[in-house]
Amino acid sequence: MQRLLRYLVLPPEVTPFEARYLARMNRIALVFFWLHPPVFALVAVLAGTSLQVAIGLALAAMVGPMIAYYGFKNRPRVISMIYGVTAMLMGGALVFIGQGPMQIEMHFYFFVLIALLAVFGNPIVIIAAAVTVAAHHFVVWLVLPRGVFNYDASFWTVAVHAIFVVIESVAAVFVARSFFDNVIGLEKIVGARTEALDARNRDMTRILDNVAQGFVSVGLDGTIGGEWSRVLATWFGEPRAGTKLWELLYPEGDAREWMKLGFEMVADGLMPIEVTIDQLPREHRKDGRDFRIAYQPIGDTGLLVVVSDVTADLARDRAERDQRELMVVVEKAFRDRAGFAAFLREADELVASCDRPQEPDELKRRVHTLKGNSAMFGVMTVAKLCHELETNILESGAPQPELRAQLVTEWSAFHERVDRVLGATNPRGLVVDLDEYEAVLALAEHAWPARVREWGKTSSRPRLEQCADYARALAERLGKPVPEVELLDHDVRLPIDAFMPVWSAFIHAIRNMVDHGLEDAATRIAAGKPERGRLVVETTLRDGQLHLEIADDGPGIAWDRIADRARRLGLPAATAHDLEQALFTIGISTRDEVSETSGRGVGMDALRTACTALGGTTSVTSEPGRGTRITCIVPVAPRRARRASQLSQPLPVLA
Amino acid sequence: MKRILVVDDSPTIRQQVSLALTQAGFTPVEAVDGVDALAKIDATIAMMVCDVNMPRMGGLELLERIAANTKIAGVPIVMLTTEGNPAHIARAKLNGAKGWIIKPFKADLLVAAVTKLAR
Repeated sequence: MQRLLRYLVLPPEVTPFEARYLARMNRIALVFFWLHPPVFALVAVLAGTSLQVAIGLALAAMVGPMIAYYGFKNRPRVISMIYGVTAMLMGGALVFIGQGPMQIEMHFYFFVLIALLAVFGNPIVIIAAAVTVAAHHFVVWLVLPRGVFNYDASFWTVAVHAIFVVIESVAAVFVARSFFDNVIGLEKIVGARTEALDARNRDMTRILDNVAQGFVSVGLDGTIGGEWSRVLATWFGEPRAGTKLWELLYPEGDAREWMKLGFEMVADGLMPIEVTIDQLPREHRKDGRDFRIAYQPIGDTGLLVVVSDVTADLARDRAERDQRELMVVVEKAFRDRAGFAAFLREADELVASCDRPQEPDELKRRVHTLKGNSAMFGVMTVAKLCHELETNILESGAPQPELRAQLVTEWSAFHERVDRVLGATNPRGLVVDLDEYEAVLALAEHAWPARVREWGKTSSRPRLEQCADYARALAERLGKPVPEVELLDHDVRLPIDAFMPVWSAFIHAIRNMVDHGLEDAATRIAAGKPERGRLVVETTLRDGQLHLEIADDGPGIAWDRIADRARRLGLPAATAHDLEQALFTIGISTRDEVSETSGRGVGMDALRTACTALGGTTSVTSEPGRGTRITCIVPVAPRRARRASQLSQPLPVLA
Repeated sequence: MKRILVVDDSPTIRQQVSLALTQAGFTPVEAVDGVDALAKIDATIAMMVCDVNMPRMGGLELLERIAANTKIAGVPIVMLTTEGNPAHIARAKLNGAKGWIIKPFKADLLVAAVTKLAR
């Protein structure tokens, strides 16, 4: 019902076009109505009816349109509606005037007029006419039958006339409405749609101008389309339609090439699009800001690229990670202050030397040592970076300068963080001039030799505990059953700073043990061993020599594989001694792949080098199925000699 | 069952690729480097997934050898690579690689690529 009403009643707005059109039609129709009085007069004469009545009726019918035309100048549709009524009144007048033999034919005029009324393009005009003619016929038939029929017409005759009117009116309503919709109202429809589109475009532009994310649409080949959000221009400069996305994002460099290749692969369409899109670059760094890039396919023809500034998120993540790391490091540092101070000193030197130009092999060894030491004290950020640098050296022969610079930055940042915390938590720390310290020590040694000998020494237990921590953490990280670690310090006390290089390198032995020496739980159970692997870390003093050992209860060393590789490298592999030497030599690794933890063959050699440098030896014993033991034997240097070597280094600040 | 040649010197990567392919209904054939791959490649190989850096013979040289041999040229090839040197990729494309998969790879995407490309 409501839809019918909406169809019959035009929407209220009148466009300038409709107003102009109706003004013209209304003017023409008024002239047309004014033709009626003289014509009616002529008909009256011909039909022999009253001339005065004819002119009187015609003039009376003209009252409505005249008032409408001059009174409703600004409401052209109202004029048209009144014209609809007028037209029927004129029809009625004609039938009345045309009494006699032609009276029925005069009825045609109603139908002609209803058809003509369609020119106003307004269904209500037709309805007004139809209602008027219906009322006219019914009333006149009742009160003055000869005014409509020249015979004695029944009610059904009137009804037949009515049915014809209804049928024509329905058709005329359709014609009028369709005329309105498709001709008169067209401008309005187009205008309204354009307006809606403009509004949507304004909305979209407003959104694009105000979102914090950078949006840009690109073709499958990376060509930038016409729309982007403004923030993109502030980050990367104004985009230009038709240029490529990588030209906008990257001024130069590998990343630019990489994105170009990525889009080439997308555009090729040889690989599935989800694969190629997934491999487009997702991270970007520019002017100290970090960006994340996401790609969303739009249909089959393009991608929506969303660039987000994640600088703040990453900074927060980094701060959290640094904080966690610092807590771990501080705990370890407190457990073994002297060792930690020595680690800081050694690492300072290593980092500084990494930044100098040098042979790749030498650099690789330094980075490797730094990686091990950092991991030992829980400085995983630096350890990870070292691993990246190491991979980089292995793959390209020479490290990227950015990575080296990053290592220096990361390390100094870490050192600063540690200094802040340890400085603040160590108010009782005392810095003494080294000469004064030596003087006091010499005096005191003279008075209580035995006691002073112990001053400069510290228990080996904290170091062993660190080894155990490291072994357990590593096993967990590798997804292996966490081994039981037994510590046997045998009350060994060692000069504070002594053997630092050996301790540093010893971590490689631990790593090898955890990585290769422990079978998984199922294998162990099958071999009749307890599910958890077992490591023993041990210090012993014997004949003035420190024995530092680690033993596992794993499968033992696969000597045949070591022999294979030794032979391939041209190393002697005939005797057990040869094989032991081969095991420690660079390049020999018991596995085919390189993991973050071990397998590069550098570590064991570093351990041997560290021991030999202090006049010591290394050895490996292994029993198939029973386990492996790595032993380092280092002479405990006479006190004076050691102190002399210490003089070149600053005194530890830790109390 | 389509036979897919998996060429990588790392047993871990080979195992991961083979596992993903087996689960998707392919038959992986493993090769440890370019030399090994040349020995194993023949007309029954539906596709090759290939590492770039390998001892003895790397992926780029392998591609050149394959392209030069009319008997085996035309086998669809996808490179397995770390996000590193774009020049390697450009060279691989010149020698007929259809695309590349970045390591560490996602198994479902690898399978999607193999499914589309295997002949």
